[in-house]
Amino acid sequence: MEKELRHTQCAYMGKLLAGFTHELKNHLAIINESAGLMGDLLDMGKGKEEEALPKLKSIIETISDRINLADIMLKHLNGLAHRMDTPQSLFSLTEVVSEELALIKRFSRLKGIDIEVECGEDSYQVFSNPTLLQFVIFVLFDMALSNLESGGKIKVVFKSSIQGPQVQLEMIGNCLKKNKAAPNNELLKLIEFSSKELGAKFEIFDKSEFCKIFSITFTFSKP
Amino acid sequence: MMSNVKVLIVDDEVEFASALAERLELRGFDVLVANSGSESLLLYEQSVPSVVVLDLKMPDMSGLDVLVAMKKINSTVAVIMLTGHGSASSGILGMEQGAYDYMMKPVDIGELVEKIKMAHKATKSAK
Repeated sequence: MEKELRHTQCAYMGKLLAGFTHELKNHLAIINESAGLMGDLLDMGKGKEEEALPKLKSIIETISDRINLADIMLKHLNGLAHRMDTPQSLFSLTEVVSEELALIKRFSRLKGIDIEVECGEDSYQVFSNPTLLQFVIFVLFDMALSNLESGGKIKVVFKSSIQGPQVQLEMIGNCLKKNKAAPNNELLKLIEFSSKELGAKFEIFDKSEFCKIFSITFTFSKP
Repeated sequence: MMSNVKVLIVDDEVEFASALAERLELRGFDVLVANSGSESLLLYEQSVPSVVVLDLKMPDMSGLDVLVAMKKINSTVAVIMLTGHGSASSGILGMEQGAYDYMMKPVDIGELVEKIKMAHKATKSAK
């Protein structure tokens, strides 16, 4: 199982990086076209610079926005990479999961599936393996994105319980194939194994009769 | 005269599509923009462009699906695929589905203009 876990983790990193680089290329393409258009307006509108001024200002704003978006993504990717520095650490559940969600957003946008995050003021501190947690979350997201129809929603809820902090993923919407919403046996084994490594308990709720397809909750011990 | 060349740009990134459209218009092309696959199919049928510049990854329909649908409506129009992938594999896949050519993002405007001119000639001779 450990070998399988490592292999799936490598595939996860590959998929995440592919999505990230693709998104970054999109930002660069917009910056490239915007800068090109500024050059065109200045070159082709000689003597009409005054007229082009509002347009140029709006293009500069676009470039600045795109640089900011790319910078935010880079910060999240850098954070994700540095999570691997120490296998076990004290971390904020919301921070670690949100860091990953920022990189997953693109996949959900392309599938037309909404991501909703519900969290209180608490940062939900836990002592566990952040990289492994991000991997498990990604695997579940990947499964949900493959199974949910466009228009569906994935809800991420952070909460406190008597046992400790919890993160819950809820997949809501119509399923592409009947009875394909819940994880298959192979995936269940992987989640089970990873949960032990994380020191977290997990519970699955099948709510298909309520149209909510299913939800999974990880409960961590108090640090 | 480039104004004879009607180009349809299909990309869900609104800012990219509008900036590219403006740059092509400044070079004399007649440009239409669609920001989704479904919108592009409507424009394609109504306006009959002579060249399509089509993004590969879009939320509602993939560029390859749009390409196949366009070819069913009118197979003579040349389509240039745009891909944000690091490798050429997805562009080649597009050519296997009938695309005229492909380019990787970010695009060089001079190169794109040349490809559009060639694609326009291909469309004209296919009619």
